[in-house]
Amino acid sequence: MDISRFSDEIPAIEVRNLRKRFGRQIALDGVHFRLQQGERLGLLGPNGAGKTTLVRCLARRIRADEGEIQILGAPLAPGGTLSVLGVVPQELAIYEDLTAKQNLKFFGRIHGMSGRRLKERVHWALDWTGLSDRSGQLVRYFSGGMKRRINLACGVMHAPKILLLDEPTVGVDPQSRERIYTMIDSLSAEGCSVLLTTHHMEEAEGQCERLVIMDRGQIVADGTIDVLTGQAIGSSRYVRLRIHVQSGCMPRDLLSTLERWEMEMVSESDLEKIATMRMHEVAQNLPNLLEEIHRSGVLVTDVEVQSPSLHDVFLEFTGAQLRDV
Amino acid sequence: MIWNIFALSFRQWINRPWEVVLTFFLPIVFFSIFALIFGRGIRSQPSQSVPVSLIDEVKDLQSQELIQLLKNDPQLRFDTLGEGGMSGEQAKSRIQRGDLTACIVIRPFSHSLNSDREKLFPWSIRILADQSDQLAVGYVESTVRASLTRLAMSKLSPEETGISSTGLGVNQVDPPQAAQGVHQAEEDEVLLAPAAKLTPNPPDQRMNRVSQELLSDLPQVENELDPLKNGSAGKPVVEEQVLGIQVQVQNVLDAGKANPVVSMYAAGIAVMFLLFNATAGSGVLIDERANQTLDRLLGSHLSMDQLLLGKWFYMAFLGTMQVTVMFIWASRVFGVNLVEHLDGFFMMTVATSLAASGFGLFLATLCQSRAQLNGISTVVVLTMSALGGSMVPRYLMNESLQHAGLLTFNAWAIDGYDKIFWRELPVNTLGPQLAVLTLSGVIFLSIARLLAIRWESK
Repeated sequence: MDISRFSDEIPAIEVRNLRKRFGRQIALDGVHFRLQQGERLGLLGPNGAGKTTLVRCLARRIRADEGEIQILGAPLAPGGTLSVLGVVPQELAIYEDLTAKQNLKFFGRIHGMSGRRLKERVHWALDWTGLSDRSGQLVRYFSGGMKRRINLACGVMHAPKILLLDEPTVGVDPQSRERIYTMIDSLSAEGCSVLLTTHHMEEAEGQCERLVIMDRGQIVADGTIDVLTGQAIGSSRYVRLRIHVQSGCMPRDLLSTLERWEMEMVSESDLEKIATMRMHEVAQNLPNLLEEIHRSGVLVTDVEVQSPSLHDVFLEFTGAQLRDV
Repeated sequence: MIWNIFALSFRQWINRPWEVVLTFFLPIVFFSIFALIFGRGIRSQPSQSVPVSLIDEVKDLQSQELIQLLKNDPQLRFDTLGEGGMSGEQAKSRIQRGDLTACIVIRPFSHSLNSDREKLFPWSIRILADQSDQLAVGYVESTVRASLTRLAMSKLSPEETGISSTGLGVNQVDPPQAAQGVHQAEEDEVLLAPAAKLTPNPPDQRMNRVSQELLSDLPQVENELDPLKNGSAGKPVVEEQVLGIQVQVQNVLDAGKANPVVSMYAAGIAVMFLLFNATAGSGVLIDERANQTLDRLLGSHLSMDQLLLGKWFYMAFLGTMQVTVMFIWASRVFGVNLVEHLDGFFMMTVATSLAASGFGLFLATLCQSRAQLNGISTVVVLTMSALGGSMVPRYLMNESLQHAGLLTFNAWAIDGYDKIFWRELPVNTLGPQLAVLTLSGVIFLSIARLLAIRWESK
């Protein structure tokens, strides 16, 4: 993924040493990151990592204790970023007792739009969301996916240059999710910078050019998926072997081989065993392993080599420990 | 399974401590309020001295004696203006403004004197009254009647009074004691029906029996004077005789009105519903905060000031519409004279709606959740309505409760509507009510604004 195209431009968002504390709890602990113009950046992190606080700081809903936020090169000031920033919260922040069109008109108006421009944007938004034929229906009767699309549309009525998206596809079916991705794609194509906060690893991996991982109020990783994978896991791959033990009894040689290669063994049945490990230099080491297992008198019925997923990278950076806050 | 549902519901209830508290707290609060009002709060006589005036158009010895007897009553506060020669029209005007509750007019006979009684008491009595405080008017009327009885008994022989004195020892009764006995009887027995209800009461049973005999031939005064029972429609003047002396009670404010008491109750109900609707409407603010719509709104060109003002004006508009529709109904069905009082009605309705809306926003910004708002608003609105006269007229409450009622919107609003529909006063007399209500609305809106700071930016 080529991100070099962003490097010379003024960043859409630049955050420097941002700190925020709620009582004794540190929410942001010196956060630094950049969102380049036109870029799609995924903001990941376990619960309580500080993502929401960061987004609320960007949306001017929370005042940071320390640090600096610049939007398109200008310091974040009250009222100064209204027209360039769009916010789509995770909750359905729309009025269910208004029609789709009435919602769009209202949110357009509070962003200073009126007259022909408002009419055009409402028309565009209905078309963009695929809800033109439902424009006069109360939102309360919409499906979850339709509500999500209207929620998204209300946040971009004023055509912002930067969009803060918080879990835009939570609770929707795959079809609606694809539609929302298409909608985000079209915004990106128009040059809108997107900061996407999500817990959905597949979504972050598929929709974002770069990822920022937060944990305990700090940025713990920042880069493309390849860079992050390299940092977290390097060149190793997950290797998974299915072994058939004919007699139902594990040969001593096999056990010592698995122990030497630090493989984990799981029994699927008396005759079928699964052995897994993370292996460096797969091309060189895997044949040696298979040879050793073969010599111990058992049959390897299947071999699976997996590239690390973002899920693995994420856990590598943040740990597997629960973050109940 | 049934037990599981029971246990589930119970655990849900226990896990909502606020609801647990309200479950037990609300009944106690309302019981206490109504016990205060109906138990000790409601009085059988006026809670404070009754402002009355006297016009003596006769000025003979007997009328002077009657006046003296009346002035001996500590519960009547005589207005000195009347003694300077106030006319009946001036008295009516002062009653209309609420300065006086009643004016006792002693009028000479216009016809030739026929009987001995008429020669001795060549006058009749007319009580010009404001029946909006029925207890006070009833008290004035019974005091006049008792004083007349005492005067007549001191001037006429038992045979002339027509009362059998056998076994009663009427002649031995000391007149002041007699009057006291009459009043005591009324204090103990009269509730809501103020006039002419004299029942035996120890320790002075003899005097009470005298009073009963004196009044036994009276018309059904009680019902006719009680607009709560019959709406007062078409009965502006009630006439009776005490020992041959004609006593008329003229309801100054009742003339020409189809059913003025209805307007009083319409006002009371209107204010209560305005408060309920305002608190419910303001709850939307809490919903908007909970589903992050507030974040989205404040992330636009909209400021918190604009948001609160918009909601304030909207709820005031809706409240005005609601009350207007209710009064249109009242005018069509119950004959409330809305058309002739449109200006005052709109002033009062807009001011009351603004006050109620401001109060609703104050409660909404004070609370953290819808459930909390619902609980608090129910307690507060019903308490205000009970104290402020939406449920029970304030003149029926004791003095301390009447004063406490002035801390509520209801009392000020009802007073204002009372001026419009009952007293038919011009709109420039609504100044205090309009000022208090509008100012209250602005103050509560300002407090709401301050409370909403915490929602703006942390």
